[in-house]
Amino acid sequence: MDLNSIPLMAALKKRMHWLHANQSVLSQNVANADTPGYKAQELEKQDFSGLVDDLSGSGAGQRAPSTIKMRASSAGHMAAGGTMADAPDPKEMKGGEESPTGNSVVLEEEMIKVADNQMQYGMVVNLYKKNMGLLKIALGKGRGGA
Amino acid sequence: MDLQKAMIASASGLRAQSVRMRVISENIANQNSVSSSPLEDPYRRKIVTFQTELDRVNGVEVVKPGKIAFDQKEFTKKYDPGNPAADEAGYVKQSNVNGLIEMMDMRQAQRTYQSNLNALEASRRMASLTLELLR
Repeated sequence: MDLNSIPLMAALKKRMHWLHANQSVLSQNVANADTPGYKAQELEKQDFSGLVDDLSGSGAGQRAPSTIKMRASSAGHMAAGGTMADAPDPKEMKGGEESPTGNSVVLEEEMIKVADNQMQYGMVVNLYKKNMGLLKIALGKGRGGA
Repeated sequence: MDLQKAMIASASGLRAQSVRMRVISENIANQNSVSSSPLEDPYRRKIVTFQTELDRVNGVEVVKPGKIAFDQKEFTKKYDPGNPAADEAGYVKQSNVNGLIEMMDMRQAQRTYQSNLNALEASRRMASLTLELLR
């Protein structure tokens, strides 16, 4: 049994993946805050209902949930095992103000997003820890300390 | 490793802004430079340019300081007939650096540098939170 077969753990892992990817997009935006013509990027928000469908559809953990499969239209097609499949491509942000140089990064907004990202990550990590603590209690080692 | 990518992007931003600070400092330092003879031009203001570049190794869009360009604005002239650099009419060409513009530019560079540093710090903290899971 691996931890990913627990839906909650799989969800947390997915969330962490997304937050990592988001952090690198935000860093790119801040780095290019003064580059003429640079357009601020953002990741698509995680789709909660899709997540629930993914996780509940996989049953009691027969397989690792939520890996995106490539469509195979012929028997000869190989399946690509994408572990990074849940990190979506960054898209251009819509409807932001633009400086005369054509740059659409607003530093304040980016900083807020960075702080928010960090807080959410802290939350996810803490949830993960608590769950590990629960598992450890079940195993009979210590009491929820970890 | 997405966090590493984030840190690479932030680091590139820091580097670009420090190049910018260097150029601004050069401009301010040479604000009052004049040429040594009437035939030569005095110090010409430098402008740093930035461009986005895809770091193919890591797949990050980093920022690179591009070519350093020269400000094409005309030199100001000052009446100073005693100066060895004065032309027949007694005018000395002075550098086209404007102290106020440089100060504003410096502030902006500072602000962006700070933001990059904040983003870097956030990535670092996230990484250490992940490592805490091992404890």
